[in-house]
Amino acid sequence: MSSLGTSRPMTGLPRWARLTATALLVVAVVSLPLNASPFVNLQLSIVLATAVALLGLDVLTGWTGQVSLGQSAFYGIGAYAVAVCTARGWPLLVGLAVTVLIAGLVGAIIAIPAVRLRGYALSMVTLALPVVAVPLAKRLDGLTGGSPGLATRTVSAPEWSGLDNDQWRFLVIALISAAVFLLVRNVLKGRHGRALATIRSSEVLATAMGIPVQRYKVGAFVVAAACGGVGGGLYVVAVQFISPETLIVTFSISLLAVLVIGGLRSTLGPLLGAAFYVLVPNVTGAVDAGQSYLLYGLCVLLVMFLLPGGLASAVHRVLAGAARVLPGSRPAVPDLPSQHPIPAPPLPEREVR
Amino acid sequence: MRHRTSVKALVVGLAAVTAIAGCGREESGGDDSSAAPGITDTTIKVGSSFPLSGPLAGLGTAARGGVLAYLGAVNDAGGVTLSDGVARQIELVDYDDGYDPARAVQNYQRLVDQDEVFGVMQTFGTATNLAIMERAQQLEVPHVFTHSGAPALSGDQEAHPWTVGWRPTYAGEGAAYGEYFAAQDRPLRVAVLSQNDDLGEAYLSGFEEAIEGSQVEIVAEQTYEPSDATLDSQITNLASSDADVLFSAVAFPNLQTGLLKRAREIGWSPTIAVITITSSIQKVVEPAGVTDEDDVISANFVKAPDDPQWAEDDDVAEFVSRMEQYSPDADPQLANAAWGYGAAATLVAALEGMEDLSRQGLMDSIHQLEGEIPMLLPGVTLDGTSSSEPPIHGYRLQEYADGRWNLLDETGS
Repeated sequence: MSSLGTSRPMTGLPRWARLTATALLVVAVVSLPLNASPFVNLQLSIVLATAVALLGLDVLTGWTGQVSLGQSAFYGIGAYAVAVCTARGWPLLVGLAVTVLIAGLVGAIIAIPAVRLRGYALSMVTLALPVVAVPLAKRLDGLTGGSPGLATRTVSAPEWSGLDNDQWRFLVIALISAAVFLLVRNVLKGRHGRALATIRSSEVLATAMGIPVQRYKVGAFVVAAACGGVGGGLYVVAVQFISPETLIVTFSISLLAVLVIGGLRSTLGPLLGAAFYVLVPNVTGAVDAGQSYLLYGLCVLLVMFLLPGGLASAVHRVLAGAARVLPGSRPAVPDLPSQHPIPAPPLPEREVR
Repeated sequence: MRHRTSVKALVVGLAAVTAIAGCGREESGGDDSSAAPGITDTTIKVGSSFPLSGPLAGLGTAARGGVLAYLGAVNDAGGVTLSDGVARQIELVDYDDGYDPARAVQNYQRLVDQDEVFGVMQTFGTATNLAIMERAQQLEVPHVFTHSGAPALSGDQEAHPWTVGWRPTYAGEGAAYGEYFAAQDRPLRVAVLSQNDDLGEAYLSGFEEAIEGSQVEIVAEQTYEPSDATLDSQITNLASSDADVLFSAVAFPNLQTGLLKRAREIGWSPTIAVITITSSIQKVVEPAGVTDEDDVISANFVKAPDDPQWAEDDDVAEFVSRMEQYSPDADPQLANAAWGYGAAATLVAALEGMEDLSRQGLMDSIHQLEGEIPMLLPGVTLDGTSSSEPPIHGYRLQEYADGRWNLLDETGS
């Protein structure tokens, strides 16, 4: 059992419970769009898109301990890449491939010099990304549609599916998100995850252990950039519109904040954080539109005071409780996320028994 | 027991997810015997989306207030009588979008699915409306009388039959100044200051088109960013051209005020054309200390409530009292309120003109709209027949003197 169990909410649950839960989840995700209204499907699609961007940020910030304020720029790269490609009639997967390529490349170009910087310097470098990206998106108006933005019909449901467009889009987005989540989770599961955790706790220690620190940091940055790009691409699939306003630095800050609200280093964290980001303003707006930012801020504070480990920590607690009583559970006490937003990691090679 | 609770929570959670998944998709826009979606025997439901939070909250609240003021008065007078002879109350359902296109799109979808509105009107902003436009064509739900003068919203109504703007375009306003100067039939050297985006480009392109072939010539051009704190360096550069005219397409009241002051400080006194968004007497012209000696002009299409020349005007008096009654939280001095009010009046006229109580019927009615609505300046007309222009047509040029904007006659003297 890994000492980094916090990345897997269902660790500790007996096998049958995990399988049942996964099966139920898959059934729910597939059947949900068939029954929900287009509005619900749109909301959930945006939640998933945001979650993918948060997942990337989590690799960099949660796992590696590097704070980035540039995620909105990568989100924008992905959004524009997919919008431009689909507007030319290219398939979505081509758009996403272009996204991963460009976002990853830009990420690498920034990261290679930037990771040599220490402490807050990386944040300052990443801060420059949205600052450059917004005017760039406005200037390249032949490609991006300039400051009014770019509207495009992204993907439509094929005839044979018998589905509405909103249902099809949700399923496409859910499938791609699931693939990205599985991929990232599996990469982090083994020694790569342990290496990143070690770097987070002490770069000196990591170097002493023979972990190529710079290479891992660049890698984490590139994964974050690529996920940010894919998230932006999925956003365009759902919303069918992108404008430079979406790339602004405040969006990066919001992403960072909701990642902490969702919970760091947890598969559930990005999903819950994204749900918070998308759904809470709709609820607070319904309560009192004029005070919606205030109410949103109150919700943020409440979560941080009551659940310092993020929303995911509450779910982890419930699951940990379940693990103790369900028949077939292992007697081990699973890891709970720490009470600190960026807690010191457990020692990398320690086995929890 | 804590453990039991956890298990229960897990089971309940999963059950809830499956339950949500199991809910049937309700067929909206039902084809039952009653009229179109959003219309009952007593009400018509229309939707909108405004920035009611964030930096533009004041403007969004004013626009919403204008809509509510007009609709409130119509409802209290018995409602709108449709072609079937039944009077109905107009109900406005609106949500905050914080000027975020993604939220505006969600709001539009929510208004269509959840609230089942008949149509959506006066959605605020350019990016937000462009984001909604594509979806409106797919859902075939009216997206009309937008709160934006972007040419793209009305420019090709054959490709976008479900979307139409309301106010005359920014390019049209630029052209109004161009025509005015061109009509003077003498050599004029013009310096232009515009926002470095589509808004500035629309003003500039309209102006350039109008002066083509005339004796008017652009001799200096500068742009600014919305984030600029001051325009001092731009104005200094433009002043060095010693142009006769400054076309100041500056969209922020505080920047426009600073610019007018600065021009005087450095002793440059060209004829200055300020755009309608920043022509408020109370918020720009007076704070900038403009006097009768200064030669300042502006174009507009609605009567500005803070302009003393309209203090006795029936339209404006009614507007101000209705704003107080129905929208006390909105600032009636902001032009956005007058636009919302006028757009609501246009909607009511379009609803009254519907031959067939359907969404298509509304769009058809809009394209036959002609006539008068309150708050428009004399000479500005309502005409929905064009498929490439918004339904409100024309600008009137005004010159600032005696603390008011005085209408110049059509020939511009």
